[in-house]
Amino acid sequence: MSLAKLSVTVIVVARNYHGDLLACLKHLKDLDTKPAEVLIVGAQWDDPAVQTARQQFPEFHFLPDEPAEGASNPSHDLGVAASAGDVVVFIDDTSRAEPSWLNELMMPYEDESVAGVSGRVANGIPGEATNGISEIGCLLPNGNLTDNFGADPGRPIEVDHVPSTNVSFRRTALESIGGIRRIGYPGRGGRELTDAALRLRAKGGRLIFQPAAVVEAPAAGRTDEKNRMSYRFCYTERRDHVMVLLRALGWRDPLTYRFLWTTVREQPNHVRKFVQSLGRTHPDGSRRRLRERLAAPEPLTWIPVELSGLAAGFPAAFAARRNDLIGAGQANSGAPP
Amino acid sequence: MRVTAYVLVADPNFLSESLRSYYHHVDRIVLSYDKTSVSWTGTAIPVQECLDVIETVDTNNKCVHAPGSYARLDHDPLDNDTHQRQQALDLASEGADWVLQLDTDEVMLDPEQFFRSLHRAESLGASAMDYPSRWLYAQVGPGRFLEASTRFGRPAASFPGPLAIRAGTQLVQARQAEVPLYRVDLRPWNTDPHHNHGSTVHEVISPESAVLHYSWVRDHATIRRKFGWSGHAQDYSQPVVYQRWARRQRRPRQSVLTSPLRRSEWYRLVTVPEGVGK
Repeated sequence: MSLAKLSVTVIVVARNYHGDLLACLKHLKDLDTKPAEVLIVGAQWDDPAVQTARQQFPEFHFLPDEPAEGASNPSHDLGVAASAGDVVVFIDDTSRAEPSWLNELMMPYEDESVAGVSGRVANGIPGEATNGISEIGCLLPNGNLTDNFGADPGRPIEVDHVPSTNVSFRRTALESIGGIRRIGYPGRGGRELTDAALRLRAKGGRLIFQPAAVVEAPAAGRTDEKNRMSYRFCYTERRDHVMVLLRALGWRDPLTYRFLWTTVREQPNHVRKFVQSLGRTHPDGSRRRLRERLAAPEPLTWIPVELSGLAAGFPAAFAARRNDLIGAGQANSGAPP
Repeated sequence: MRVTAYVLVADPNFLSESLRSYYHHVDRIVLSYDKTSVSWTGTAIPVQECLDVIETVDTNNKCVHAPGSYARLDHDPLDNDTHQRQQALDLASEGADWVLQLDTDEVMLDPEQFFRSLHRAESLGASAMDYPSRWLYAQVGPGRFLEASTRFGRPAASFPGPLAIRAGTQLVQARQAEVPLYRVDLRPWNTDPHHNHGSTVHEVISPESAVLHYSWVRDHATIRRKFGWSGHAQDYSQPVVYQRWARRQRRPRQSVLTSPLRRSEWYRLVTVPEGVGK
């Protein structure tokens, strides 16, 4: 199938950062090559920014948000179900696409073995273009997933997983793995896409990172930076990581258990930080204040948070996999999932 | 993917086995040697003997001679090492995507796996590949060797520098370069005691697929000469280094059993199959 014959649907997943949606849609309107359709999912309709966007961009389709139940996050799947393109592209509302973005993102699809293509997400962090170039979107043998989606290796490369924005999949590839899962990743957005990417890779699909397909997402950088310092974020990261490995690769795959061991091996770092903060003086010789000395045990508090996140991943994955199986059974019998 | 190689011609030990292990996988091999047969430290090296060995291996005329003046005695031996390698790498880079930089006492046990890993490194956008070497310390019997290990005798990798590097790279010291690395190891976590605990491992292979580095596997006369011409001559030429090596070679079991009690220099006894690289 030639590239010219591929129709493209861009699905904007609204995370409801006020005001960002308008800028995102304006950039989509200015693309060099227009997609066949643009769908906006997950937007809160009573948000004034969304109401303005609907008036300003009548050519784009706004899908009513489906109320999330429990740990469900239906936006991606809703978008795919409502779209018609041969390739579905996911972008979130904090992203601003460059005019040539879609052209570059579609380029690797000339190779029919390519199941998905993601692009570069420039968060505006100094040095991000050069940091971690050999560790972009890798599933490492120790179970860790690397990101570094802001890095620019200078040419398209293969990856194991994808960022939470600026991602595309061939529709037939998504259908071959039963689509994007709705239920199970209540933490930060984008795990559904990682899950889909890992399942595609496990089935032998090729995923490409195309650095020339750039979106700028400065808001995403700010929010992540703030959240990363919270116990809640740390807990959900560990839990969801175990879940995504178990759901995508199965209980028998050693990577989940290696990830457990990797996390346990990292815990002495917290103890080391605690010991380093015990002395009366800083390494530079300046005196440590009483408040700092009282806060010295703080690094140790991360140990139960991380380990309980790991432990919580197993029952959560068990329940999620049971739902997956029930959903698959209903799909086979023709019943609604 | 076009792959070439360069070798520094100085040591005939294991040269034939080393070249044969990857000869059929590369397009060209640059032979770099000092035209006066003098080492980086000013000692004599058997260049002609090495070239004779290479002639028997080079059945497809892949080897290209690149003599030069590398015995710059007013420079540090390691600087000379880097200088010679850079010259050889630049020559080998012509018309190549990747260049192998194995020493002549390093033998690939599983070339197919090595080149599979290299293709993976290429597809991930890396510019150099760290591939695990098993460092052999001394031969203690027919096919039996003392090999560097973890404290409790598990296989340990050593990484003297990237064994494959993208053509045109600038070296920093010896084989090292500051470029994005693809790291292959023997376990999912770093096994080299000289590397950072948290070093990223991209791929895991079995010890049977590693590179065997016959680093100090020599007879007594040769090891003393090697200590003299090495880039690390200043450290190795201390009498205690040779004495320790000779004692451990004489009493290998004792060396293995006392390993957990030492702070470093841990060994295990291994058998290497005959005919490796042949």
